[in-house]
Amino acid sequence: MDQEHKVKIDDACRAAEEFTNLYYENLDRRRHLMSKFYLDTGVMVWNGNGVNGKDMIHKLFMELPASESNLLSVDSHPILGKTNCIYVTGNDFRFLQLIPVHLDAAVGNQRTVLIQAAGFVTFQGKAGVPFQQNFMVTAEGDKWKIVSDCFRFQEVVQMPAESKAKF
Amino acid sequence: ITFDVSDETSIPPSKGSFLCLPEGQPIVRQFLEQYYSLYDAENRQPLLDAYHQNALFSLSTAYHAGENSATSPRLFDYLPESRNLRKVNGYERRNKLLKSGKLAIVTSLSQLPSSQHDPLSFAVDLPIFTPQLIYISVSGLFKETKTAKQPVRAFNRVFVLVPAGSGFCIVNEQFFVTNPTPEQEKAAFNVNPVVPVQVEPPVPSAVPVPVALG
Repeated sequence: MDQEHKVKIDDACRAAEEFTNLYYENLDRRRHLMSKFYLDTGVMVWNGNGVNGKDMIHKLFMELPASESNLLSVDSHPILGKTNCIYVTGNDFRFLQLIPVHLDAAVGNQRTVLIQAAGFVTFQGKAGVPFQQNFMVTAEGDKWKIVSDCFRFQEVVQMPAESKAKF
Repeated sequence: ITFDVSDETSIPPSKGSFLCLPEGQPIVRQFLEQYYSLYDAENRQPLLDAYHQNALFSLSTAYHAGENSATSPRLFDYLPESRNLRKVNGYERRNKLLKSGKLAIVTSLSQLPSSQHDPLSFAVDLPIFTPQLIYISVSGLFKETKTAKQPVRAFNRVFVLVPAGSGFCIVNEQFFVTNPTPEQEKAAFNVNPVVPVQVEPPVPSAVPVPVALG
């Protein structure tokens, strides 16, 4: 593995540790700031409920009851190669595009990192439950921003038989 | 008289699947069917074709909060390979646990316990689906077919796919394994639906009604 990859792997670890510390602290204590973690066009999927864009993500977070999160596992890698340089644009799922930003010298060092987290969360009014969460974060200027955030309780998913047949 | 400060909070009901683009569904479904039929097979070597030459893979595992190997089924088959950054410190060790390249990945996957996945337990989210990159998050249950007592495990797995030839290949994969909740364990491999589903009484008809299969 070349030196460049090693730097990116190391970077991804550091980013994941700092990111997850901040993310769950804000989720539990400063919910109103959560949307700042996301790209303007970020995607959040909360137990299969998907929303797109900072405003909708803010609304989703503000409607959730108060939480207490306990993080138990974090893992992270960089996305290497050409796909390292990605950026999601558009404000509608139908127009989501990934543009290889290496074409743009200004953001030529764009880095993209995958983070997988697991833990235990208690929402007010609900018994505590294990959860798993998957992030894709990308460097926008000097800030890491969430491209995609998938959260799931570890639970029996109750979906109608017709949609079960889908997968 | 009260103040008009809305304090309405609630937990939205969970949905089994989120697709950013409905058109992505057949591709994701096909990918998962193919991947898991190979992963659950006796020999996982054919998975070599699923990975990019420079793909990255890592496994992580953790007991649930307040649990350990004395209180719940042991995760010993996963712990030595677990790249949980909260437990594994030091660049060298972290780097060693990140499998790079298709051969290293499939070798690592081949050493994990033999499995059978329960497709009915799957929750599949597709937050990114573009011609250049597909991001799939899958959660669900499998059982270890060759381990004593065939324990059920819960997993969460992320696949990042990019186009390759006429299809796709995996460039990144993250695999988290843990023990199921008691409810999950009860529901695993249960042929009866967990949720009572309203079934329309069959309509007597000479002509079979076509059934849409997703």
